[in-house]
Amino acid sequence: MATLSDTTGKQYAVRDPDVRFMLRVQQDDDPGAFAHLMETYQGRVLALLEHLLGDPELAEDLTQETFLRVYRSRKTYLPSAKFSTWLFTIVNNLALNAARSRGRRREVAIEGRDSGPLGARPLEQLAQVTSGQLPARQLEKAELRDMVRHAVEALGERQRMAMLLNKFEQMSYADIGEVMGMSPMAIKSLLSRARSNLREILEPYMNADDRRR
Amino acid sequence: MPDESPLPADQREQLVAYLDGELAEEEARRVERQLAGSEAARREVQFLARTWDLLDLLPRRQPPGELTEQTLSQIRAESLHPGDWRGRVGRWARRGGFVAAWAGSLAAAAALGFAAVRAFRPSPSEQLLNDLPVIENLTEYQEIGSYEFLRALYEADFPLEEMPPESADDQDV
Repeated sequence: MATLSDTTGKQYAVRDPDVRFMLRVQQDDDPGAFAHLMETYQGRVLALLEHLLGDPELAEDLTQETFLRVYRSRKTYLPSAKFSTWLFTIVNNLALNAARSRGRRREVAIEGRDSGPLGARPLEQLAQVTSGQLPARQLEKAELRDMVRHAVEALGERQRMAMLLNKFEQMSYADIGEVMGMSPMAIKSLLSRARSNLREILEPYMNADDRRR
Repeated sequence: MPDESPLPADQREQLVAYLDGELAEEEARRVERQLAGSEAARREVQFLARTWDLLDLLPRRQPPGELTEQTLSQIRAESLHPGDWRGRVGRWARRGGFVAAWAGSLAAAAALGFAAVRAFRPSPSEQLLNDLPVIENLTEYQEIGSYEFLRALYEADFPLEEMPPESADDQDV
């Protein structure tokens, strides 16, 4: 008789082709299946980690570490969720650990010093700065991209993670909650605050864009 | 004149969830009714949606070509030498093991020394037990006063216990 987890696993295996690839890696150490998973997700994991950590080199290291962990834990893998949910849970854990250890180092390094042009400023301050800097001339796309990047960096880690998963992975609140170990209601609130914060910072640029049109 | 006051947090949450397609049908209809009747809500939705669209400007570079190959090489290496992936852990364990071995040796030497002292040197209570027959008869032995005489009594199996106790008169003398 099939247990509940067997049934759930089969459901995911039927619905999610990447679960089937992962099961092939698990059962046969199939290098082709693993390469397929890497090709499918590597760029997405790297982009998410870059936006999350703002450090391309660290993002590459953690991307590699993510897939090494996937491979190492293949024998204990249980298809209890979509493959992407499981994968991004690993990414989230790695990113949180990296951010924590980096935060500890930074606390010592920047004590008593200015944290740089747009680094680690409260949202209100960042909004005032960006608003004050608003040039009369048209904003170039590259400048706007920089402002968006700074606005994302100004969000808290959890808001940023939830926002990136929602925006770029099109994950539902339930899946994001599973990745981040939070309830869908908490994710709903987190994403609402993230969007409000982004709006607060970027609104002057949207107005400038309107005037330009 | 449009209402510029910000929406309450719970209403904004509903609008964001509406944009994300996360609301049940009934809730979605309620939000749509709110949007139809509120200029502020419509503006809010517009701004939230446009902010979200701006995120598309974030750069998304392709992973460097060698990243896949590096990862696969490492996996191949780990498959050939399964212990290697724990390299870092292993190094720390080895370092820790070296220190632990030193500490263990010191502790073992200290324990051995303590045991040896305990084995060869009787404890104070053991010493007292050994000396108990002498201590019990000390008064008599002191009265005899001569070691040779005591030895002669011992060799003759003379029971010291049977010696008459000192009388009060004797003590007075």
